[in-house]
Amino acid sequence: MWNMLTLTTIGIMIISAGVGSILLRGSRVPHIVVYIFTGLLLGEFERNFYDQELLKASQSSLDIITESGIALLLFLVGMELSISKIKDIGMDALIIGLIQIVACLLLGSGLGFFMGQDWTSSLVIALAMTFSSTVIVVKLLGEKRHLSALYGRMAIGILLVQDLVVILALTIIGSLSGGQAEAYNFNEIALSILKAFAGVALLLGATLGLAQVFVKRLMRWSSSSTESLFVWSLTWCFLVVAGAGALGLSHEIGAFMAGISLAQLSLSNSLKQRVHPLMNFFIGIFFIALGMEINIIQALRNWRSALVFSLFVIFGKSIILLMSMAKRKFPERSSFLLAISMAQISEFSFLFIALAKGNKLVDEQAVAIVALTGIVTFVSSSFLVAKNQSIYRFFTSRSLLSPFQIRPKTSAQEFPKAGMSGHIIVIGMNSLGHEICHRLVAEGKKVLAIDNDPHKLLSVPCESLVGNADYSSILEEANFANSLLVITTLRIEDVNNSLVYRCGKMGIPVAAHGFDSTVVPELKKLGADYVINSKSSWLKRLIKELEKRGEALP
Amino acid sequence: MNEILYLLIAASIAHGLASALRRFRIPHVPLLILAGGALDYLDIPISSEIAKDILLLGLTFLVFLSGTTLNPWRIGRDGWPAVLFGASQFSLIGLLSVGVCLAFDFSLVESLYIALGLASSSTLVIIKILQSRGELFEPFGRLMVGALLVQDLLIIIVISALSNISQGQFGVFVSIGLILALGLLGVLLKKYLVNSLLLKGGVDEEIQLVLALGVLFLFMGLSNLFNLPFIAGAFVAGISLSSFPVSAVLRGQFASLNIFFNALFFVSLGYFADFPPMGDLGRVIALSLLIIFCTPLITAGVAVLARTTLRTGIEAGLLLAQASEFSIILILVGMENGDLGQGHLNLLTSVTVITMIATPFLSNEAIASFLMRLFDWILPRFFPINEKPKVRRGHYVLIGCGESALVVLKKLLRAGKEVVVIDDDAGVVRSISELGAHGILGNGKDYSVTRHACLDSAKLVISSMRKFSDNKNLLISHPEATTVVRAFDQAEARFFEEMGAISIPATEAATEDLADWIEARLPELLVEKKGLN
Repeated sequence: MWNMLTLTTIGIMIISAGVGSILLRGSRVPHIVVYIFTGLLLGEFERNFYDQELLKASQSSLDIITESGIALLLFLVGMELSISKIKDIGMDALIIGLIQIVACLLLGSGLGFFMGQDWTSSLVIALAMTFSSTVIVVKLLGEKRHLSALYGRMAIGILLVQDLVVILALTIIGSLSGGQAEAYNFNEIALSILKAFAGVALLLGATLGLAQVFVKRLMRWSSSSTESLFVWSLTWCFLVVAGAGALGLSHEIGAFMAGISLAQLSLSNSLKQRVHPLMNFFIGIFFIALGMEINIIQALRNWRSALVFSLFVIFGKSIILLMSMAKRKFPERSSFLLAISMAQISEFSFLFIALAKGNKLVDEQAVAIVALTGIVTFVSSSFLVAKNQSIYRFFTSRSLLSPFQIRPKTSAQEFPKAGMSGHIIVIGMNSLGHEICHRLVAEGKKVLAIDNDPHKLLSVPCESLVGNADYSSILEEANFANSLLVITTLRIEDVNNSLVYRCGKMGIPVAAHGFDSTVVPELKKLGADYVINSKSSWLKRLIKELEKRGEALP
Repeated sequence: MNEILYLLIAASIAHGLASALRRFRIPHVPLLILAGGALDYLDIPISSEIAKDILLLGLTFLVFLSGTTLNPWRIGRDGWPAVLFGASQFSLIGLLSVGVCLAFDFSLVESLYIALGLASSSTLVIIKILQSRGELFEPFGRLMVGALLVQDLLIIIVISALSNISQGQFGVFVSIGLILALGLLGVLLKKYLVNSLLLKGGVDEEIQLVLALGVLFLFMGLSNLFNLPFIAGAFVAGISLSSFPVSAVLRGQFASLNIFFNALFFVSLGYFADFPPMGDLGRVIALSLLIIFCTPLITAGVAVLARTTLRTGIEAGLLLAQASEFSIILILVGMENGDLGQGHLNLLTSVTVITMIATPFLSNEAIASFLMRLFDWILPRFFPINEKPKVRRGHYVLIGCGESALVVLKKLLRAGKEVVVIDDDAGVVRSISELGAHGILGNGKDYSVTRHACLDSAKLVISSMRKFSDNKNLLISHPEATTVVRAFDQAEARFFEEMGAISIPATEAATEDLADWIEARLPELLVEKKGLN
């Protein structure tokens, strides 16, 4: 009955990543780097000391996990970026994306030929260097909460353009064999292009239409059941992903469109919070598995070529993007931040090179070059994006960007507006929450109401936010740090305790609902500044009422 | 990824059904199992290997996350009654089930497995019902969490012991010793390591999740090392992460994993299990009825013996009357050991589905009240508690005697007032009588009960009943009485005032007190905490 191999593999991966995180605690090394290095070490260990290749033995299940991770990541990005947020950058993303692809292909092929590769190998390696990693860019920008910034949206736009071209490139490489020129079938290529664009249009139309007519109604119908909403939204994501697959599109595009179609929902915020942990779990496994697949020892034998190509990806690709952005009149800061965000190769690069090797277009050496370039650029990207603002300041302070003559330097629309400040946050829109909101608003206070059920927020007299207090991301979205007071009226002991604990850590006054006498001592112990006790307040009024009636009660 | 898609579609349909039938509050678990069965029936192509991996992963998370919700330190003062409720149900239902199984021609070993499978209740279902009623963090909820924890611990020990039953008596004892050692390790980890591992050194949410899952897989690895079933490690890992503040920090992340993996686990379980043949239906029904009828009787008996309130015992029994998801795990272990076959899994899964579906229908006020009346009729014959009050005029009547009403009662008694208390709990009425008040056993919404308290000639009637409809009934039955009613909010308060009552809305009272505090203390606190002037 039990075949524990998959579970064992996942367990080893997670424990190793945990140990890596503990060892690198405080060093501010990005998580992706920890995961990839964990994978590299595990891969080497497995190849040298283990009698069974864990990854291969549990490949099909792990594939599902890693593919699901990527799908969920793109689903989240879609929910972050509604149509309205990307339509203004659509044309720019298409033009800049295509310019970058063509320029990288030409320069990369030339570089490959210069490094002693034949033309076919040079072209395939250049193709592998051209695309950037959707997973890495999205993950890193998501961690910085910059996906809605101008450069974040541009990055997503360009990555989607790349995703479309990737499909085409995979079709071409798949149709080639042994470097035979006669295998090129231009009719097939033209048909692929047509199919890809028709597929995108069809999928987008169907997804948005169905979401509008069916999914949104379904979600509204059961908005009070967060569990059902979560399951349905995941089903929707995987359904559209399957639809994309059926149309010959990538899973990424499908997941992104599924997310986009739900972005308009008031519930999307709450859904994002719920999908995030699941994505983190799956995507962690994806990066570790990616690291395990790379034979680092073999790859290191070609370190010179890999270094040159890595420098090309980091500097060459960045400069191409910087110049393209400047040409389209994007502000200097966003252009620079975008350029360094895209300075890595894609997870698809490994697929290209494997496919090309299978078709005998390239040799083992080319595979090793791409693998090592992948590791170098993934790691460098993690640091570049993590520190992008400091790097930008460094470049501008030394006038290193002046040769590009980018105008304007900055723009007010580059980053989304900061949230509320000086407000009182009321969490939980039950009767008590509503009563408190009305009272505080009547007293002229600035109030933000939070609940995970959008229906309960319809009649609040103040600003509102759909979200779940279980998730710490709510602290940032509601701008807890700049609030004057947090009030929780929930009847959930754990969440109230957690909010009191978190507010205590942040130095924010907090009032929590002591809905039962048994929960009050813990709230007080955790540092609640005030405990709302309906029973005791009711009792006080009752005793007053009795006294009013002439009863002197001891 | 098609496998995940098919399972998610089935889960979505189950959730859709649960939403459509929301007024019946049917738990998701049996519907998910049935949806999985439908996948199998429709011959949906799912790779058996992948489905098994999903089942295994789902099972791991199910047990682990069950552990994280059962914080032994939260049970507090309800510890002893919780142990009594949990252990007595486990042992008595277990014993009765052995008898029934033997009567149905199962072998002794088969009977033991099945009986132990039926002995514990479902953490998932009960926690969900308590959450939906808003009772999870109230004393009754704590009691239930305690009882579930006791049962889950017992079943984990049983599963561990049965896994090594082939090594004889010595193997069983060694297993029990090892699971206790693993538990001790979990406690030590919780006490000395978990907090600093997860909360110190600027660890962010993502790494917190990785580390928490690292703890899970570490304990599973240790289980493997000790030759214990992996779920024992998963459960201990969950318990070691269940206490505050670690549980609070991880709660949101675990909630997402919980929903996802529960859905996948139960759907894939339904995919693997089959409906039992017609010939087995008698067994399924008999075992289901055994759980449904005997559990409330057992817990009511325990309530009387433990001198907790009778209502608590009855409500606990109605809530605990279903088979647990752990029972299915136990059967899977039996199959792994070669003691049981697919037929036993089908039987237990069917009993689990039936009893889980029945729980929300049984665990309601009407049935609880019916059983209360039944016990109120039986019990006074053995434990006399009631006399008709002799007061007729100028007295006070308290309807419902919870925490707040008890304070008022004591104040009134200290002031030398004559007080009649109406409560539907024999235990409460008994203790009130001991204080010197007149107790009437029965429900305050019931005229045949309230008429004995002469409400219309009372100086003041104070109702602290929670339910709007109960208070409404009271006011309709006694329009002449001067009644103070506890209203929940202003809308309710207005309604009661229109009916002639004096109404005190609890939310308004609490809001006023909060507003006073904000006015008086917040500016000072902002200076103190944030340095704002």
